[in-house]
Amino acid sequence: MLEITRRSLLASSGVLALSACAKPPFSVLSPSDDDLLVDEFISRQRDLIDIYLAAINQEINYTIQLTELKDNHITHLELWTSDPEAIPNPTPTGLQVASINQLITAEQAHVDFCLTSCLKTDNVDILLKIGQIVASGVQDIYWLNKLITPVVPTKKPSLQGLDVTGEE
Amino acid sequence: MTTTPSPSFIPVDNTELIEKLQLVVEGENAAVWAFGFLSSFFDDADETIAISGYNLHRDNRDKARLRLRNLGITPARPMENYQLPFEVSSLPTAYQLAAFVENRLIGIYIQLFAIEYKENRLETLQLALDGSIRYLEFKEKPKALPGNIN
Repeated sequence: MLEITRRSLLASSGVLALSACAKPPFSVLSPSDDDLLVDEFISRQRDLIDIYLAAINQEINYTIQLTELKDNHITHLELWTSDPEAIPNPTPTGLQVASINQLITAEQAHVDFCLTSCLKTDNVDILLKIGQIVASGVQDIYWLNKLITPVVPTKKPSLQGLDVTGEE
Repeated sequence: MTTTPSPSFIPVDNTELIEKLQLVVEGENAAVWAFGFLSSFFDDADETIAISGYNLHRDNRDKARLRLRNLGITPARPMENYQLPFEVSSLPTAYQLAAFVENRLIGIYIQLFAIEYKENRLETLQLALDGSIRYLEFKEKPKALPGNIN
């Protein structure tokens, strides 16, 4: 019968400890470039929704329109993640107010990010998402500009200035 | 030593590219027909939009045709007539049809963009973005996912 001595027990535990040190305790996989890109999209999309929430606070005359655009951005966020906790909510510590001009600037920055990102990947699924998001982004910019641009009545064309003979 | 491609890399398949380019040609053919049809519903001011839409879609179709011919492929021919997705009998419904056509083309161009070689990607995407703006000019609101791909 095998006798377990204190010495053999210590020796075997030492072997175990050494073998444990020979490998990492768990396998560490570094995220791929595509994973990092998706994370960046999630982060930027959340920031954009935060700005919309702040703008809805400030621009009370445009609450309905801005809420629709904010909901579109939530749809974009849901393209990247199915985690319901990823969707930002209004918080007292977040950005409190933002103007429509700030929204346009933020939207433009997001469109620019999409345009540079589409050259960083060849993943068709990611590119399809980017394509739809950037198409929506340019629509938002157009729409926001239209919201804050006063309507000027068009004048009927009339003859003005000198006639062909040079007389007024 | 052999190198293995990155798992995320999807090589562009010419068969798929040709298929999407044919879709573009078919979509643009339908758009050219639709804008010709719509011009009868528009008054003088709006007719300019219809005519410029007609010319623009004809140019885009010809560019896609040329790309196909350069690949040795005969582009799809336009149909003699197209079935309308809904009844068009007034100016508002004419606007709806124009928006429908533009939105469909946005989706087609985004699908092409996603499989394009990098050097052509931004140019193709720009066609989808231009269509996104035209879509709004037909009295529509911004969409969460233009092109209805999903």
